[in-house]
Amino acid sequence: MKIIHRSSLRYIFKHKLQFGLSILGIAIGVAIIAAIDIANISTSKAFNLSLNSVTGKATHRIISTSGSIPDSVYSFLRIQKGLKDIAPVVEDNITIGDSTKKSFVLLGVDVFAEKPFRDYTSSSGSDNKNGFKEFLTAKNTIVLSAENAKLLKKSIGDTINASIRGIKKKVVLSGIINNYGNPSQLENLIISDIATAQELTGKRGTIDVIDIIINENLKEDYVKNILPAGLELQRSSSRSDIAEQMLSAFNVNLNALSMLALIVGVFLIYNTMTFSVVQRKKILGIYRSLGVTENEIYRLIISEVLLIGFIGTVLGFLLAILISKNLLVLISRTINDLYFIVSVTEIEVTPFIVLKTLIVGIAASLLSALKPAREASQSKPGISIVRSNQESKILGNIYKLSVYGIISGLLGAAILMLPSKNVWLSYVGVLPVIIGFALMSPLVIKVSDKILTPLSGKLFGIAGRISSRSIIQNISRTNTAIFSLSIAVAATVGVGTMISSFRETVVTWLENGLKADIYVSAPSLISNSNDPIIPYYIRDSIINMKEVRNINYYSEFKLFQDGKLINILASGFTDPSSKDFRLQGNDDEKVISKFQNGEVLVTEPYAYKNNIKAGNVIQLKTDEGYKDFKVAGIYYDYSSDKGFVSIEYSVFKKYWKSNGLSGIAVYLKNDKDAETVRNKISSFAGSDVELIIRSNKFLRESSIQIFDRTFIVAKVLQLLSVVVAFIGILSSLMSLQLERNKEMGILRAVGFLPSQLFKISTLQSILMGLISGLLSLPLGALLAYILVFIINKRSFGWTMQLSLEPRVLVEAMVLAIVAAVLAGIYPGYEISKISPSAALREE
Amino acid sequence: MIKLENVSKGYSEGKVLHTILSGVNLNINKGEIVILYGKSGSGKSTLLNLLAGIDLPDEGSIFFEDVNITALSEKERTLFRRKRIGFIFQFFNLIPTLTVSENLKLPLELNSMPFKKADEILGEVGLLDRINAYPDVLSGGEQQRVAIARALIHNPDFILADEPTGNLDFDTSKQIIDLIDRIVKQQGKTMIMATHSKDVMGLADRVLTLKDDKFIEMN
Amino acid sequence: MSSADTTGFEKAVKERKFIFPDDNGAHPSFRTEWWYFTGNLSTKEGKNFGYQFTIFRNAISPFKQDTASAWRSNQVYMGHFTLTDIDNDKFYFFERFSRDGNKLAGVEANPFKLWLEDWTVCETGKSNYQFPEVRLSAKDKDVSVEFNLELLKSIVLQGENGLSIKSNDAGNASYYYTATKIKTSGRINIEGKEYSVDGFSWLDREWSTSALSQNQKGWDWFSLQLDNNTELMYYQLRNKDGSIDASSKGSIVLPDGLKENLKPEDVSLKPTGEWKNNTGKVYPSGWKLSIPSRNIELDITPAVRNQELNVSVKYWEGSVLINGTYAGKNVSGRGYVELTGYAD
Repeated sequence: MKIIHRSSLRYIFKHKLQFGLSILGIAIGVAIIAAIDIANISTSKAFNLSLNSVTGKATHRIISTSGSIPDSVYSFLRIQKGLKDIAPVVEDNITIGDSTKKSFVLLGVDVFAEKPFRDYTSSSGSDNKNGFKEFLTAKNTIVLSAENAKLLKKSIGDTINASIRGIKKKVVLSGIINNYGNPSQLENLIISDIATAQELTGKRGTIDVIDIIINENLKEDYVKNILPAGLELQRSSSRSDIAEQMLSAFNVNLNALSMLALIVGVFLIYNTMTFSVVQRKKILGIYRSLGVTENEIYRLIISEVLLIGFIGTVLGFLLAILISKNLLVLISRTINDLYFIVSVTEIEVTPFIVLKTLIVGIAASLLSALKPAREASQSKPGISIVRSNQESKILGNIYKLSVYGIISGLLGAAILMLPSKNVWLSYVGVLPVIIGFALMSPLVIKVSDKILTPLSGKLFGIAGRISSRSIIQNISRTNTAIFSLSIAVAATVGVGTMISSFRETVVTWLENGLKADIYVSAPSLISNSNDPIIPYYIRDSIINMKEVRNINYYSEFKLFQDGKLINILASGFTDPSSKDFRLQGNDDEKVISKFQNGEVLVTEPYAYKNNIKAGNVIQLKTDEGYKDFKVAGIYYDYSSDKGFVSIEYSVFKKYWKSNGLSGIAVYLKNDKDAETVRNKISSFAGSDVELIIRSNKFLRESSIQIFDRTFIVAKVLQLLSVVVAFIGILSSLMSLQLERNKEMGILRAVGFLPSQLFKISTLQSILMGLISGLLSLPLGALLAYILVFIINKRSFGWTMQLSLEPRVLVEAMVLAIVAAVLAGIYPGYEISKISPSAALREE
Repeated sequence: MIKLENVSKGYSEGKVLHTILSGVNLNINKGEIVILYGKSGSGKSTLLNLLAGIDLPDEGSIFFEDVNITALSEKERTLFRRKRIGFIFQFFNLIPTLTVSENLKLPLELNSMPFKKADEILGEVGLLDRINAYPDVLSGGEQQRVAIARALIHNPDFILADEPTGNLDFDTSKQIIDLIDRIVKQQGKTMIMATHSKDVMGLADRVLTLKDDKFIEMN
Repeated sequence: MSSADTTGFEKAVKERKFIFPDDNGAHPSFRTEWWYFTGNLSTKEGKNFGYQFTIFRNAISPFKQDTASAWRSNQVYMGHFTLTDIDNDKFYFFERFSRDGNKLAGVEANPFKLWLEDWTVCETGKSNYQFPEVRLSAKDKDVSVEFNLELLKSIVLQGENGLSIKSNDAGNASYYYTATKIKTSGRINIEGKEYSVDGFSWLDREWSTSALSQNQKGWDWFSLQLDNNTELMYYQLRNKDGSIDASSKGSIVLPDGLKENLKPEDVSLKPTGEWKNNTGKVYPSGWKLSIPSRNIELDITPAVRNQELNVSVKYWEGSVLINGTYAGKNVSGRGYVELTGYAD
């Protein structure tokens, strides 16, 4: 090792705490990013693995636009068209278990067609002598992987309680797949004969998918040509493509949010490095006079940062592995609430994540070191520079910096106002805004000094004056500390306001939308989506109840069209005045009458993402081929960021097949009791049909509960960035304390008590917290605005009302001051311990 | 041989321009010890900085033998300094995070020279027993002896010294002066020393002092 | 795939009355059943081919559940389709399975229709005999055939009036009838080359619930069509101890369609060579079959030595050439031989 590197290492060791905090800061920042990545990748791996276990070796799948394919189509393709590598699949979600429920995919297959597709379905090495016979010929028989059988504590012949499409069923375990290559591939699968699956799911005469292998012997075009109308050939991978599409906005925002802590961490390293450079100005000057070149100094500082960054990144990565399991639970729950079912148990650390984390962590460290390293390299040889040069440089440049700040802020605004729908771009635009604020902060500190120093002097005498003054005297350090804290606090304000605005909007929307007295829905594994499985007779019986005034009913339905997924909401009502759309514009009646005459409505996110305006025409693939639908209007909906196309029920029935309803909203006559009606409905539905019947209050509450659940991750991330900011302010207060040893020593020498020094230090922390808080409010409000009106809109397509609550602002101030004071305790304690003689000794 | 041709240097403070050196011409011969004498702020340090290639003159040229260091780039000047110049400071300026031995090895390492010379020279300055000590446990005189050793260890042609005794008591100063006399003279180095102390005058072949922004010879 | 459990199935214990065309169809209360076509064909230029087309029905359970699903099934169909390209010394074989559910496989007696996905035998017209005129068509990979089949002789009931006893254990028997001479014409397509062919096929129909007994290992089965308008069927059941089971039997169908039974003691069957498959298992290859009481002596030679079906249960079934004497006169002919239980 070179001698100057040895010198650096000793310096770092001498200031363990400062560098340790920097390492911790970068570690937490990196940990969050990596943990989010690990959670995201694990989720998508788990999802793809479960898809693959369902898809097997099929290259393509034949699906029906309306979701189900008649049995006869399969025989037609196999017998009349002689297709060999095809296999019929009935697929549905099934919930297993009595108390703790676990959801699986029920995969109904024809073993005789399976060989080219899913080897495990034909390789079932079961102990059951009659297993095959029972599997094929007996009712309700299923096969599980050995792992799942163990998990559910079931053995062959056991009966298992299950629920499929809202109906309670009992299934019998007739076989166990032992020693299949990759057990996690079968993790969420329950396999049954196709006939059993049809019986269990009530899909009479239809299958869901025909798997097919397209290769040189069987060309895609040929298959497309022989497919009956209403069927579509799609690549097997398009399912995961669609899932990825659904999650993309969610993931982008999660990733962006995870950057927050790292940005704060960057300021922390910047702070530490600037401090260490300033403190070593003299040593660096000696190096220079001994003939060390500017470049060599620059590289020296960079190598120090690389070391710190590397250690921080590695620690961060280990930390990420620890926290990613918890994060995974939160994230997969949100995905299950909002998008699709995925069960993730294993965290997946790919080389890509390792590499990305290393690059991000080290790049962030390097970025934060560029300026300190440049400053270091410009150390004057020979002459011992006093730090105040540096301070006066900043003070002299305050106005120039502020102008740069304004320019940077305007640049950010310009980027944000670009007519784009790109979410990343909007985050890119946020960065110059933050930097702009950072550049303005010395001005704010100067102004604060003008106001605070006399004030503090009046309140606390000379100690107050010293506390306040030293903030501006040490502005090169206090500035970064104050700013790091204010970014973190501003993020709290921004994210907090965004969440509360969103919540407020959703609550209002729910209140306006949920006007019916009782809501009947099918049980669903995904909270914001219901399969259309309520039998029509239930609707008809409800209409005929004497207590009922009128009802709205709907079917949700997923339309696969040209590799894309469109959510269709078929909506019917017995009385148009009870419609529960909140339409844009003021032409409700006209729009509703158009809707009843065959035009469609789309939700705001759908309109935003597909550039649709009222009067436009959209094409939908019906069972009879493509049909044009005119868009009558756009309505507000916050239940799905994917969006819906809503079609009047009778129009829907004309073009698509449907097995049932997803939900029914019941309006009662004035004097009727909801509870009585509720009981009546559940009694005529029968005990095997699992209907969820809720009052509007209960539905609203559970909707809001889910809403709150989705934002836990955001809140956690936000909190962690405050932790990093706290470390930042602690580290910079400690740096300040180190440098002010001499000054404090003098104060001690002239008669200040240790408690007075502690007071000075604490007061200073409070003032710094106060300035941070003040700085964070406008930045926070700005971030909130950007999050609500730009980033949210681009991510999800929702219009929200900004609700900037005073409570959030007050909390931000308190947070800033408390964080600063807490961070100031230890340095204050250290300062109070200074002995006058030691501090006054010449270095 | 060092040659200054028409060297001028000033600095501005606000809108006021202060001239420190103007049109200085100076020849210093090889092996000569020249003392720059004067009060603080008289321009001695400015001249030393110019000679060290740390600062550039506003006008004029400075030659070390055939090399016009004012025409070199910053990097070339640094490399020139690294190889050809040794520095002795008033405040010793040892690197606090390096041991005595490492402080001496630093110039050797920078010049890719073997380390064995470090022990030899420490013997010469009489500090072999402090070889692994950190500077902060040395007395001022000891520190300055190390600093002198550091200035000479890579065998530079020129020694620049800035008040080498300025921070030392009388007795220690004498020891340091003796040491400089012994080593620098013995090795035939060219040395330029700035001082405001008369104690070191005995070392000088020539004493220069600054008058009207120019150096004149003192007798 | 098939379990040994036979409870609930009907067994062939006594003679029965055969009713046509119903008995051409399935007998689902019995566990196994087959429609076994073999044939030897030639082009006008004298290129020779053999084919086997068999559909096996296997009941997994005796009864079918009441069900809402068209896929629910207790009947699994297995098909074997082979083609022997004698002149090129090539043998093609294919196997497939399907349930009868969702009309993927099945059999209907009247009008006759037998299918396993796109392998089909369909009635094209009534015939003078018990089995109608049919079109047989099968295709897999690069091989396809399409034949029209027309019976030239009445079917014969094998064994005792169609009850073919396979061992001494009661119920180890099948119901068995044969069409020994079926005029066959149609096309063969191999790797894009098409041949117009004519010749004769043989149809075995058999259904049972249990046939072989515990100590039987396999059988050698011969169907021989001689150019003197006589057909000969003989099978010998081999016991595990190497002996020939006394239940082995055969029949001879004379030009006028009359059938006479053969007992094992009437027949002498001697292998004249052997053939090893790729795993080293040895099959007999070539026989001398003599029936001294009728002064018949026939040399039987495989048309292609390797006609092993490497499928879920390995066996050898292939086209053979026949030369010899029949009551003092030279005869020749072609036939099919099936050898099971050699490759276990």
